[in-house]
Parts: sequence; structure tokens; C-alpha cells
Amino acid sequence: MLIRIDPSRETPLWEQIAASMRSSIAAGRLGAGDRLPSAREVAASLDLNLHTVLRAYQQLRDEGLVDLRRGRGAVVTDAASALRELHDDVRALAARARRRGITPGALASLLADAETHGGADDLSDSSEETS
Amino acid sequence: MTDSSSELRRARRAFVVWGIVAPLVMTAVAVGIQLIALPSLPDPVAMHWDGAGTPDGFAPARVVPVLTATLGAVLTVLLGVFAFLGSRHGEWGPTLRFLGAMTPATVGGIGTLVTWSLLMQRGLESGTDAPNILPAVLGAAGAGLVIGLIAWFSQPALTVSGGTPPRGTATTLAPLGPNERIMWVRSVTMSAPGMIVLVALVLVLFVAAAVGFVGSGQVSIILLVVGVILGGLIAATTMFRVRIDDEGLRVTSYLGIPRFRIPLAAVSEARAVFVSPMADFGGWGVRIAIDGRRGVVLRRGEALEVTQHGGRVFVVMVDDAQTASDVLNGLRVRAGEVAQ
Repeated sequence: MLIRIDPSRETPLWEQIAASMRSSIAAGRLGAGDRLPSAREVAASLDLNLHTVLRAYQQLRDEGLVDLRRGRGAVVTDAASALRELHDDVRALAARARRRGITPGALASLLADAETHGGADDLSDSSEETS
Repeated sequence: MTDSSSELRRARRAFVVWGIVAPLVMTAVAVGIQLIALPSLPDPVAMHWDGAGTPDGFAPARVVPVLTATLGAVLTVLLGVFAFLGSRHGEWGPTLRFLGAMTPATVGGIGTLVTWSLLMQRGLESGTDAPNILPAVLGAAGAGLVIGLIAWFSQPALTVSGGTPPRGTATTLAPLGPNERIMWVRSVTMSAPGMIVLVALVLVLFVAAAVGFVGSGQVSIILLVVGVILGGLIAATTMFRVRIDDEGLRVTSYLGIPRFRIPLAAVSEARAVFVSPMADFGGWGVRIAIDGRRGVVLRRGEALEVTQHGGRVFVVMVDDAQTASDVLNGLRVRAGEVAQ
């Protein structure tokens, strides 16, 4: 698993940690059943506050990517394989966006928008065609 | 490429000749001589000598050729054949060359000793009159040494693998920013078949100890102690965590010991290599290879190889070794830029 964070970036550190771990899962470096290093180890290694790392782990748990269990630490769930399947698509999309000059932020908000409104748009499109 | 593959063929052929054929031939010759000598031997013959060189163990003369043949064949298979089969994927190294010399040396030495001990009893009334064994021991050790040296120098000094990267993958790691913090962690465990063999071995010891309790307590206590020690060693040397951060490389057993640490400042170069446990290290576990490389060798495949300033080399078998070496090199380069 690879974690890269840059305190000089605007994105909160816990989000950067979560993003690194998400990428590690998507890239197959972490698979279902793998255990994440302890938050304490990550905090010590990256010279961060323990709570920053725990916040990232909680984020991943909320996304269903890891199970947090007392005594067993954080274990990657079966949802990892779904993320893994999207990996190539995501990379391709990111590369296309970059070539067309679309910023990562814009792309992310497009994706978030597609997630919330996409279903409704598809529906109206198809109804227009049929009518 | 054709050059190195013909070299490899030569090395493999030499290994078969010296590590497999030679021991078997020597065993056959020893057995032949013993059979010819059989009619002129006392029965039983002396088989064992005490520390002072006086015979204290005896066996029927017929047993000796059978024992010699069995020992020769078993040692050849254990040392020579297994090593050869363990490296059929085209890698080669000094450890195999060593085994190709040690197998004929061991088998030849034992064959010489046993045959010599029989020949010196020819014409004796009884095995109890057998002379001192010391000259035979020295002679056999000398013979083994000579055979070993001949076998070693008859094999080419060839190392294939080690230098081959696991894949053609170029670096995908973006350069490190000045403020960036990075951490790479990965667990390694011994391959499943290896674990099964080890666990089975410990179980056998425990079962043997349990069975032994019915018979003799002393033996079973020894077996139990060996089993516990072996179990502990297995737990300590089959599961490791590999961590790279701005402090350098850390390889720690799940038990906490053993652990290896190479500070970033001591790293001269890191790269991903392909390692075959048998060819490169002569086996599995925490190892020192004949060429001086230290390693945590849990399975064949990708490995991170770190060269320290001063030339010491440390190898740890771990998946995604390319990323690991990229991270370590990236950190090293950045630390160097800061220092300048």
C-alpha cells in the first residue's frame, strides 16, 4: 500500500490519506481481506496526528471499503473488487479529461453531478426519444 | 542472449554430472568394492568406533553395502536432485554451484570412509580386532575435500537472475514534491505450500512426542522441545511487514524479532529483482547467500534489492517490488538534493 500526502496542498490531510488508500485498493495493491497498517504506525511514519489517520479510516469505513474491528484493525472488504474493476476506466477518463484541459476538480464535480442527477437525465432522454 | 543461455546449459550440465551422476557412480563403485571384499570379512564387522578409536558397534557384514547404497542415493536426491528441480526456471547462482560440489564431496567422503573401514577388517578373525578408525576418517575427509574442489572448479561461475527485473514496467511513480510525505507498506508471508510443509513438520514432532510419552519420557521431551523451538522459529521467520518511509526500509517479523532496518542515508541503490530461493539463497527463510547478499526469502518471485553504501546487499521478497524500489529511490534522491 502506498500513501502520499502533501501538507502544502489545500485538500485536508485525512482526505489525502483516504484517497491514497482508495487508489491502492483500485490499483490492486490492497485486496479484500488485506489488513491496513495500524493507524498508529501510519501516523508515526508520516509524522501525523493519530486522529487525522483515524479520520481517514472512518471515511473509508463509511464508504464500505474497510471494516473497522476492535482488536483486528482495519480490514479491506469485498467492495475492493468493485473499485478494482473501475480502475482502468477511471484512469482512461482522467487521461481524456487532462488532454481536453478539464481540471481534476471539474471532473470530480461532473462525476458527483452524474451520480446525483444522472439517473433522472437518462430517464428524460429516453422518454423524449420514445414520444 | 544465446551466449548466456548456452552458458546456462553448460552450468546445468556440469551440475548434473557433478551433483547427481558423480555421487551415484561413486556410491556404485563403493558398493562394488564392498561386495568383492565381503567373503574375506569377519561377520559381524565393526560398524562404529568410540572416541578413542576402538570399535564399539557391530553389524552383519551384508548390511554395510545396503546401507552405503541407501545413504548415497538419499543424499544425492536430497542435496543434488532437489536443488536442481528447484531451479528449472532458468536461473542459476553460486549456491547451486556449491551444492553441485558439496553433494559429491559428502557422498564420496562417506563412501570412502565406510569402504575403508571394511577393507581394513579383511582377514580379521573378528570385528572386535578392527584397527583404529582415525586414518580412515582423515583419508575420507581428504577425499571429500578433493572431490568437492574438483567439482566446484569444474562448474562455471555463472549467475543468472538477480539482475532481471520482474517486468518491463517503467517507473510510474510521480516525482516527490519537497513537502510530500510518503509511506509504502506491504506484508509478506511464506508461500502456502511452504507453510503447509513447515506446519506439518511441527505437527509430526508433536504427535511423535505424544506417542513417545507412552514409551519413553526422555525422547518425547526432546521432541516436544524441538517442536516448540521450531514452531517459534517458523512463526518468527515466515511472516514479515515491509515498510518504507523517509526513515528508510524496515522489515519486521510479525513477532517483532527478527527485524532489519536500513536507514535512508545508508541506501545506495534500490531495485526490483526476480529471486529464486534455491538458486539465489539455497533455500527459504532468513538467509545469507554465498555471494554475501542477506535476505528474507519467503517465496520465489519479485523482490526488493537494496544495496547499501559499502556494498552490502539486502533482499526481501515482496510483491509490488517495483513501486517499493521507486519509492525508496525517490526518497533517496530527494534527501540527496536537500543535503547538497
